[in-house]
Amino acid sequence: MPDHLDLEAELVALGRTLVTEPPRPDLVTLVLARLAAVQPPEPAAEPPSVGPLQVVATIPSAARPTRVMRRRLGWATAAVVVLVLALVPPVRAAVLELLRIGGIVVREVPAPPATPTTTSPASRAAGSSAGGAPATPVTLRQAEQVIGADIGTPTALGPPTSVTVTHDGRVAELVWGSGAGTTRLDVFVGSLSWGYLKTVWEAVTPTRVADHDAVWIGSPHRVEWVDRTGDTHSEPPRLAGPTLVWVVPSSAGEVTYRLEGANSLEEALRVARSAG
Amino acid sequence: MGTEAGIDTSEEAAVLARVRAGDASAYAVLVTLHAPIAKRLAVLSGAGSEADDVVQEAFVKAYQALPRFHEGAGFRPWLLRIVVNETRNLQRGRSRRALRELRVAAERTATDPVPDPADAAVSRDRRAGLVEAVEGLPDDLREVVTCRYLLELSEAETAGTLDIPPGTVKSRLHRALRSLREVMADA
Repeated sequence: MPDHLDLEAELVALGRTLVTEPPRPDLVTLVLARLAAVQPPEPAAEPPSVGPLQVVATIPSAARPTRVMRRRLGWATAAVVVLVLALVPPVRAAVLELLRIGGIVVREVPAPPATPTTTSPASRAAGSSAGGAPATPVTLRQAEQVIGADIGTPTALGPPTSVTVTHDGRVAELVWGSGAGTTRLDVFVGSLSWGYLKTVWEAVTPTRVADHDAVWIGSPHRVEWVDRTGDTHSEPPRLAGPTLVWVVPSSAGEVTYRLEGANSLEEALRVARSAG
Repeated sequence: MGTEAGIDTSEEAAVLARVRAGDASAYAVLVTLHAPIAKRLAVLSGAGSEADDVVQEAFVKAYQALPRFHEGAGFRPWLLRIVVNETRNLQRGRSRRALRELRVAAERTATDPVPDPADAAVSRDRRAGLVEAVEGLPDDLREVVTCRYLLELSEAETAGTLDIPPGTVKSRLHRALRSLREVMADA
C-alpha cells in the first residue's frame, strides 16, 4: 500500500507544477495608494467624520466584514471615504493617477522639509551605493547584464560619460557631463518591489514617452530608496531637480527610467524619446 | 517555486516596527514578500479573476488590523488568513469555483511544462487524477491540502492560515490523505 509519505511528496510535486499568474505588477503601488488614504495602524486614530460623499464608488468596495475585521470595519470604511474626499483636488487626483508609474511611488507631504537645497545630480553620481562603497565603472553591456534588462540609451546625449551599477546591482546609473550640467539616467527593472520612493509637495505632470506612461516632476523632491528590508536610504538626503520618469515594458518586466538633469519637460522628453 | 518568505523573523519584526511607527512605505516590503503566495492561495482557493482584488484587499485590511497582530505569530499566516476569508466571502453564493481554478492551473502545466525534476515524478495522467481527487475533497480537507502541500506551508502556518488548531490540521490532513489514497486506488 502506498504510504502517506509518497502521497504527500506527490502532492507537493503537484503543487509545484500548478501555474498561477504572479501578482499584478502594480500591486504595491495600489496598496500604498490605498494606505495613504486610510488611518495609520494605530488604535489611537479617531474615526473621521463622514461628510456628504457619494464618491465612494471609485474605491474598490470593501468586501463583507470578515470575522477578524468586523470590529474594525466601522472606522475603516469612514477612513476610505475621507480618503476619497482628500483626493478630489486636481493635484491629488493627478498624484493618485501617477502612483501607477513603474517603480516610483509619489507621495505628497504637507510641507517642504526645512533644509531643501538642491544638489547636483552629479554629487553622488559617480558615486557611492547606499552602502557607501564606491561604485566601479562598468560598460553599458555589463550594466545591462547586471540589472537584467536592455537599456535604451538616449542617443540625444551621445555616449554616457560614466556607467555604474548601484544598489546591489539593481540600478544602472548613466551619467553625462559633470558638475552643474550633469544629466543622470537611472534604469532599473522595477515593479515596485524595490525602487524609488519620492516625496513631492508640488504638482506632478503626467505625460507620455513613446506611448508609455511617464511623469514629470518639475519641482525639487527628495529621492529615497527602499531596500528589501524596508530600510530607506536617502543617499544622503538630497533633493533632486526636475525629473522625468517613464516606464518601458520589456521581456525582463517593466523597466523604469529616471532622467534627472534636463531643464525643462520639453528637453527631457526630447532626450527620453531618443532612447532606443 | 518561491513560496518561502525571504525574510527572517527579526527582519520582519523590524519592518513591522517601521510600519507601526507610521512608515507606510515599509509596508511595501511586506507586500512584495508575501504577494506571490497570497496570490497563489487566492487562485487555488477559487478567487478566480478576482484573485488580484482579493490580494489587494487582504493587504489593506491586514494593514488596518495591524494593531491586533501579535508579534511572533508570523505575518504570513496572519495575512493568508485574511486572504482565505476574503476568498470565502467572494465565494458565498457561488458554485465550487475552486475546482475549476485548480483544473485551469493544472491544464496550464500541460502546455507549459516546468523544467522541474519534480515534474517527472508525477506523470501527467497521475497528476490529472490527483487534481481531480483534490477537487473532490470536502472544503475543509481541500483547504488543508492546499495550504500544507500545494503551497508548502508548515503545519503551524496552515493552522494559522485556516484559523484552526494544529491538532485539527493533523487530523484533517490524515483524513484527506486517506480519502485521496482511496480515490487514487480506484482510479
